[in-house]
Amino acid sequence: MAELRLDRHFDAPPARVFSFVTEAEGLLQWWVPDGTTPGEQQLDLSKLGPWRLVLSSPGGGETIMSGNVLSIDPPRAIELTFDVAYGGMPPMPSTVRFELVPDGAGTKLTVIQSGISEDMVMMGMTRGWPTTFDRLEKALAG
Amino acid sequence: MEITSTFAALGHPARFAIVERLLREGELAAGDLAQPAISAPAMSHHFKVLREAGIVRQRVDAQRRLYAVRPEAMRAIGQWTLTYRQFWDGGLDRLDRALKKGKR
Repeated sequence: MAELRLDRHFDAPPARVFSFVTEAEGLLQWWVPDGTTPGEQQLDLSKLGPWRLVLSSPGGGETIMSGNVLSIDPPRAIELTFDVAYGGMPPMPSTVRFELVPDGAGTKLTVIQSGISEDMVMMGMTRGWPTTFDRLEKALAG
Repeated sequence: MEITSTFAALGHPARFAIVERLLREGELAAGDLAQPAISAPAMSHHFKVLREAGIVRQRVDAQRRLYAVRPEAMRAIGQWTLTYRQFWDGGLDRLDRALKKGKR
């Protein structure tokens, strides 16, 4: 199992960023990729228990994101299970943790997604698979 | 092609090694892909799993079985695996915009 880790500085205090990672109104402003439309949702991550968000893409495909909020430590951290199912396929489970630390006048938010199955990691995240794809594309074109 | 069976097929180190070599070197004979720690029956099982998952194709040339990666399988995998990183990268950009918007 491996993890994906990204961090970013925001010019807003931790309490404000925390509301954007726990409340539906805030989450919908950044969890809905351009071109997709949110449908069914249960997005109060400020309390323990299940959450769910269904996203529809223009082609008619559906992505179901769901899980459980495992722990909350306002305004420092929240951890949830994060399962994603595309187009009726079985969900791919993982765990997502958001960590917030004061950073100057703002906040550093770290997203840690772990428990991603090893096969996905081998292909996308740690082994230079995109480069392999580039080579394959070239080979195909040549 | 079922992407989940693709992942299941690639989830074994020996099979992943086969696919990596095929991507690097192109079409290869079964004999060239032999791995010291793996018996011939085990290898043919791995080839069968990869074939059934649609990841490799096999053709026979005289006495040799030749294997190559099917490009459509690789494309499907590529689209799939980029999504988590893209989701969070794009998401953090949108979060930054949302936080700035609220402040004005």
